[in-house]
Amino acid sequence: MYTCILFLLVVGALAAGVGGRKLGEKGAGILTSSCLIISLSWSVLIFYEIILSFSTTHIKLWRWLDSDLLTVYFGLQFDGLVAIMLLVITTISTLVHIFSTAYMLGDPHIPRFMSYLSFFTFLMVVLVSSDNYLQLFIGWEGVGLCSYLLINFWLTRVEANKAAIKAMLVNRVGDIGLILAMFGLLDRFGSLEFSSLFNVVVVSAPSSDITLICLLLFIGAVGKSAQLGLHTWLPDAMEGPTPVSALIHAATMVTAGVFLLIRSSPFFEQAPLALMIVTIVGSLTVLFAATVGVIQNDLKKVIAYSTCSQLGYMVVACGLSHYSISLFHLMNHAFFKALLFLSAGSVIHALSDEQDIRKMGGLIKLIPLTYIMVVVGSLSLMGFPYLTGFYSKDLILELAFEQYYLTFAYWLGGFSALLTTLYSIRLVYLTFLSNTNSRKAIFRRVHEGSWNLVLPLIILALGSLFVGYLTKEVVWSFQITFPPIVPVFIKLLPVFLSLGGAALVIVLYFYSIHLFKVPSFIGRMGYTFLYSAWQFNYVLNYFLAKRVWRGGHQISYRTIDKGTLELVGPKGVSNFLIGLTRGLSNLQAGQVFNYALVILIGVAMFIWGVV
Amino acid sequence: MAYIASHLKTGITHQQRVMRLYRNSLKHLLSWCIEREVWREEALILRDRFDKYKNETNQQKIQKLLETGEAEFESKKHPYPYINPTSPDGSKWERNIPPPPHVLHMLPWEEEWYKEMCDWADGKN
Repeated sequence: MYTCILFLLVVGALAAGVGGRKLGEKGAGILTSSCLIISLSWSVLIFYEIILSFSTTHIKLWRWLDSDLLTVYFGLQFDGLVAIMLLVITTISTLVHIFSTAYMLGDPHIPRFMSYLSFFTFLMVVLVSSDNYLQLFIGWEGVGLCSYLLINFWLTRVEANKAAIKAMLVNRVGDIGLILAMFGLLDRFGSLEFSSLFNVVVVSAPSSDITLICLLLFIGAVGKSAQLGLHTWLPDAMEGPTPVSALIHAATMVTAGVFLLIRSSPFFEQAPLALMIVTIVGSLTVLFAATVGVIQNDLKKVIAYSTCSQLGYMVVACGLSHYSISLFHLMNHAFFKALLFLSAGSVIHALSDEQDIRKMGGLIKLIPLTYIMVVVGSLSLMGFPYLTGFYSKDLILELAFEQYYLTFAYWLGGFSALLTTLYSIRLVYLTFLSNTNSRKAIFRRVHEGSWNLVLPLIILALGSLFVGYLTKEVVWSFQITFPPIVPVFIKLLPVFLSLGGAALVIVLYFYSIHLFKVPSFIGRMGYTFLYSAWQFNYVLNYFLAKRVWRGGHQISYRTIDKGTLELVGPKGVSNFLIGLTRGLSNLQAGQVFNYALVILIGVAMFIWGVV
Repeated sequence: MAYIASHLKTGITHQQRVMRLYRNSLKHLLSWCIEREVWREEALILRDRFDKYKNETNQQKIQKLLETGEAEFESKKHPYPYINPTSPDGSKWERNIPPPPHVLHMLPWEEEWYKEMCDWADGKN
């Protein structure tokens, strides 16, 4: 059962990819979705066995690399963390597969799309179930590759090409961090297996080596989980079809970075400095992404920045050493964010691929079910009491308050809660409640989707309502520290801030709509600054990427590759040999005295040798 | 959505230049205003500002007014204006472009060559 999950996913992906032409659009959808449904049922069984029956499983499949320095097995490790991740991945992926069969209807490349989705899921399962860093890295790179393929699914679009290349390149920066961390682990501990490493590290004293390794691991997580600095690929990745956004940017790929932090927690516990940096970067990401999300006009980009912000909360929880709470938020976030993305897909599908919320509005009467879904997802995201998001988000904020030297994480997170409410209600208002700005021809055709478009939304809505409540005890049981004791005011502050955000939206959009016209100069500057995500793209491109590119061209390409290496290497050798042979060929000029000279030299040497 | 490049200004008539300024101002105004009613009010004010000088005959003054208007537009235009999904740079632009005809259909000489190859493969030649 444990290995069959992997096998089934890869079989589905290959069958749809290679035999897609024979299977057809419907066949590919049914096959891959069926494989995912079976994988999901096995994941539930694994969850039961591992979490509820306390039976951790470790399977060594085969010896993969064997050298004097390093021996690596291909193995699968199923513990509590993996069981929860598996359940999240397969649940969301199954629902996304079913949703895609309706959403992508009419696209000429459905089998390819379904194949990519299944292959992506397979590699994500490889990532989470690996028992060593090298195998984890295969899954890590694999999901990077699949994200490239999925973002670039509409490969005739130049914007999609650019977004996919950007995702690939930005992720490579993080990957270099992970590779260097693996080198560091190999150098320091001589192994890459989790069990060996974690057993050694818990008894070793904190050192600068471990701090460095943790920081390198964190660079990997920053790239994958789109934290401040390497976040620029995430909003651009919305170029892919909406189900891709739901799968990659809600439940799977972006959570890989957080998973890496949780998996490497024994190392981070030995590196307090690294934990502090993790907390700082996470809390800044929470605030940054929330401020940008407030004024985005693209429906998917609002949700994308929201994802970035929520990932910040997870990273903050890791930085505060509360890894199980981070995992709890990861699981809860997967449900309500997938719901929001798929609901956005439903809206976009209904409005003939319109994504700009400035051209929406008035949809509440035409697609009421989708409206309910968006409201449920948004309330859960805002941390509305007793919904799924509430249990983890508020807990993270309370835990942040406990840390006396990093209380600012609490204040940034609390203020971001206000912004979260602001952009969530703004999204609901502009999409569903305001007067419509759609074209009449499009507006008249708006209707709810077919059953396979609606069913995943209903299931995810149930998850967004109840998963937090149902699983809080399970996840809390992993926690080795006691729940924080904080003043009632601090406990309630995030709720008050959220209510403040809601009140602000109502005042702004319901009663002061006339304010939304061409702003003043300062207003325009602020708007442009926030809309362009604090000008991060500009700063990174013009001050970093361009200089690195120029340096790479001058030093690496022209001086080393085309200069030194060419002169010493092929070109130098070739020039030398050409000169030599030309000199030798000049000796054979057809002149008798030349031959006589050679004969004379030969005879002289012979006589000298004999004598 | 760039308004109009300076090197193109010389290639159009004065009327076209004013029309483009007006149309683009309206479009960018619509990107700023969320509600249609607010946009309508602003659009009327904009129209008044254009109508105010429609009977102006002094060429130098007209030129100056137009340049001032264009400069104002440049400073006030929306940094990320609304783009129709199927228009260039829209969210649906270039999605699943059909392949060019020469990929789908064979030219006469290609058909002839293909037939010859099929015959050769079938052993007819």
